[in-house]
Amino acid sequence: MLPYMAYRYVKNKRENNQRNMEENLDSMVSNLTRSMVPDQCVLRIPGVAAKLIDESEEYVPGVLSIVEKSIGVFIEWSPSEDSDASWVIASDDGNTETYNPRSPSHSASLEKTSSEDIAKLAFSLDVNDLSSYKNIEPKKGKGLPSIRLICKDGTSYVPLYFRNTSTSAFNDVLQRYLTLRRSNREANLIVVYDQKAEALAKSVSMLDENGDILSRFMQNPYMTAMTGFSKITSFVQDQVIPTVLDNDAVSSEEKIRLMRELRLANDKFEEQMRVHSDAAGEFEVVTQLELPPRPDIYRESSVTQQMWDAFKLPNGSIDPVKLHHLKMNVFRGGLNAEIRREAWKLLLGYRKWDESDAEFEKRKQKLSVEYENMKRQWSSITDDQEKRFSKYSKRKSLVEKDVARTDRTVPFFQGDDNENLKLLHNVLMTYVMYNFDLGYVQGMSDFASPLLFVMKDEVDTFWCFVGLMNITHRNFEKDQAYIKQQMNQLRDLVMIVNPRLANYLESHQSDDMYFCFRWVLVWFKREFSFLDTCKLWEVLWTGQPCASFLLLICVAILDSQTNVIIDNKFGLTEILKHVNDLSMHLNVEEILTAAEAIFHQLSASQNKLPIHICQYLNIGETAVTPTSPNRSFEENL
Amino acid sequence: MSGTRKKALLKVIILGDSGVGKTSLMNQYVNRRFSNQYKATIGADFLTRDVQIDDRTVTLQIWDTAGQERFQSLGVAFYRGADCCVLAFDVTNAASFKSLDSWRDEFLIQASPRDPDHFPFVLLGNKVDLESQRAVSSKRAQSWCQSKGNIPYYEVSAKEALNVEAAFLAIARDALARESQESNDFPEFPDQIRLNPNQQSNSSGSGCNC
Repeated sequence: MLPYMAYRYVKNKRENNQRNMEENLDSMVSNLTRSMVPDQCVLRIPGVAAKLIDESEEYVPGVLSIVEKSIGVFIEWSPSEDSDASWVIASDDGNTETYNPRSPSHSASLEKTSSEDIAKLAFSLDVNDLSSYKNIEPKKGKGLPSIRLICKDGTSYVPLYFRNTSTSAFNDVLQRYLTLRRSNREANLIVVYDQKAEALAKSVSMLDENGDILSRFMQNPYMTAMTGFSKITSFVQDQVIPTVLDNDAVSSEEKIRLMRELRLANDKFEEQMRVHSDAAGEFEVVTQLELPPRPDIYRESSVTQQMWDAFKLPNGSIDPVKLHHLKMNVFRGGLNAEIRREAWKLLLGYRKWDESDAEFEKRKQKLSVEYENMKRQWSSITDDQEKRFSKYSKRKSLVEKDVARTDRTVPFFQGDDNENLKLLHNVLMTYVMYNFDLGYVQGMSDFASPLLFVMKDEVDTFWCFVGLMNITHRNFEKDQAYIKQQMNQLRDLVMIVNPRLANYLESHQSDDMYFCFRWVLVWFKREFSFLDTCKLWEVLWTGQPCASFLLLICVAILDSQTNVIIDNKFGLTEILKHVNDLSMHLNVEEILTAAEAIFHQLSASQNKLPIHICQYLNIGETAVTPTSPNRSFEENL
Repeated sequence: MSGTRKKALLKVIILGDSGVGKTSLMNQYVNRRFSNQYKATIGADFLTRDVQIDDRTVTLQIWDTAGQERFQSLGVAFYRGADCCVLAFDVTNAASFKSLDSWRDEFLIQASPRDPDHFPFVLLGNKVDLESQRAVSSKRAQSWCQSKGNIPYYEVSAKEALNVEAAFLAIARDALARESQESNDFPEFPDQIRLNPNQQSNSSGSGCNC
C-alpha cells in the first residue's frame, strides 16, 4: 500500500495542479493526526430520546453528544445501553404518554426487528455537513424541547426530544464550531451561517448599494413584463456575476446562490409582483394578486356510528337531503374506525347512496358471483399455459413481488404465511383480469392494503378497490400524462398561494414538482401512518370542499416547508431528499386544516383568480355542477 | 481542521427491473443492513456514503429508482450528471436479465451523457445467496458485459452482504480514475465530477449554471 501511495503522490504532484496537491497533503496530515489525537467528548446530554419513524411512533432514550475528533467535530446520538427506564412525556394536548424503551410484550420475532430499528437510529454527523436544525422549545408543560438536524444534502435526522434539560447547552456548545443564526422568518429554525458566503454577501450588497445593478434590472418594466423574475436573475447570473465578482476564493455556485438570495431578500419587489405562467404557457405575465389572510379552521371529531345512522332512512339508504351534510361531516372529522367498513363502501361507490339495504344485498350477491368468475379466470391458468402468456406472467410476477413487500410492518400484514397477504394477492390478481389493459402497476398494492384492512373480506375489498381505481387509475397509465398534468397544476397553485416558494423552485430547476410524485401517485400513503392514511383518504373521498383537494394538501405541506427549503438554500436534489424525509413526520390534522384554510383563501378571491386555477378546483363561474352525487365524487377527484 | 477537506461527489444511479434488489443494494452498501421489509420504491431517493480511495475522500451519492418502466420518464432530472450507472438484475430471474439492454438504452437516452460510448456502466447480479434457484449463469452475464464494451460484472448478495462493498468501491475507483483522465484529456471542459471546496454545493441541480 505504501509504495502505491507514494507512487500516487508523485504522480499527482507531477500531473495535477496546486489545488490537488494541497488536497493530498491535507489528507495525509489528517490521516496522521487521526491516529495520534484521541477523541474528546465536549458535550454529553443523557435523556435525549429519538422518535421511531414507524407505526409504533415509539421514543427511544439515548445520549446526545458533541465530540471533537482528529478528523472533525461530530454531533452524535446513540441509544442508551441502560434502557430500562421508561419515561413519560406530556404531549401537546396535555395527555401523557409513556415511552417504554423496549416493551417486553413484543414477540421474539418482532423484538429482533425493533432492536435493528433502534440501532439504525444512531448517527454521527460532521458539523460541517449540518445545514440547519429545527429547535423547538415549547412552553412549560407543553411537551419536551426537541431538535431535528437537517444536512446540507437535504437529509433530515430523527427528531430528538430532551427529557431533563432545555436545548440551550447543545446550542451553546455548537456555537463554538459554527456560526448559528435564527431564521428571520421561522423562529424554530436555526441556520448554520456560512462565513465565506457571508463575506461575499457583504461585498454583493455593497456592490448593490453602489452600482444598484439588480434594482436597475428589476425596475426595467419591459424586461419585467416579458420575462419571469427568475429569468432576469439568470441573466444577472450569466452576464453580470462573472464580470463583477471574479473572486477565486468563492465558487461560482456560491455566487449564484448569493445572487438568488439577494433576489429573495428583495421583499418589496416580491410582494408587489406575482409572476405566474398564463394558461397557454407561451409567455409569462405579471399579475398582482393579494390573497386574503388564511382563516382559522377547526377540525371536528370523527363521525360515530350513531351520527352516521342519523343520516339514514328507515330502508338503510342515505337520506338524499342530508347527503351533503354527511359528506361535510366526514370531511371535517373523518370517520370512527368502527364505521369505516360501512361508510367506505358508499364513499367509494361500491354501494350507491340511494340504495336500500335490501337492494344492496341483492346487488352484492351478483357482484360476488362476478368476482368469483374473474378470479377463476386467472386461478385456473396452469404453469404450462403461463409460459406462453407473457403479458399475464409479467403482471403476475409484479403482483407477487409487491404483495410480499406491502405494509409488512403493520400487524395486519406481519409474519410469514400471513393469510391477509393471500387475500391482497387475490384482489390484485382479479383486478388484473377486471382491467387487463391497465393490469398491475406499482403503487396499486398501496391503495388496496388499507381497503383490505378495513373490509376484512376479499369480495368487498375488490369492489371497493374498483371504486378507488375509478378515481385514481389515470395515475397509473403508461404515458403518465395525468401525473404530469397534476404536477403542472400543483406548480400553478403554489405560484398563486406562495409565489416566494414558486420563484425559488423555478430558479432551482425544481418547478417540475417531481419531488411530490410519491405524494400524488399513492395519495400520501407513504407519508403518513396507516391509520392517518385511512383518515386522509376518507376525507378526500368526500370530494369536498372542491376538486383536486389533494393538490391543496400538497400546497399546504410545501407551504409549511418554505423557510426550511429557502433558508437551507436547497437545490433540486436536496429538496427531493427533504420532502422524502418528511414521511412519517407530518401531522394529518394540521395539514388538513392548512389545506382547507388555503381553499378558503382561494375561494374568497375566486373572481380575481386566473381562470385555469378556478378550473383546477372547479370553483367560480366556470364550475361544473355535478349531475349526480356519485358522479360528483368521481369528477371531483 | 476538517474544513480543509475536499471531497469529490460521485453520482451513481441504480437501474433494473422491479424486485431485483436496488433498494436493498443501496441500503446494504450505505447502512450495512438488510431488511426484507423494504417497500417498492416510488419516485426516487438517494443515500450517500463517504469512502476513502487511496488518498481521497469521495462521497458516493447512490440513487435508487422505481423499477417499473412507466415511472422512468419523470425522474430524468435526477439522472443528469450521473457519473456511473449500475445495472442490476436478479440471478434467479431470467426476465430481469433480459431487460438489461432496455435499461441501458433508456439510461443513455434519458441521461444523455457526454460520451455515451464510453460511459461507465457496471453490472450487478444480485441474490447469489439463492444459488439453487439460479436462472442466469455467471458466464452468460459476463458475455453480455463483453458485448457492451467490457462492462465490469459483480455477483453480489445484498442479503448476505456478499461482494457489495467491493463492487461499489470498484465503481468509485473507476469513476475517480476517469475523472483525472478526463481532466487531463479535456482540460477545457468542466469536470463531470464536481469538486466542492466546502461540500455545500454537492447537489447537481442547485449549481447548474444555465
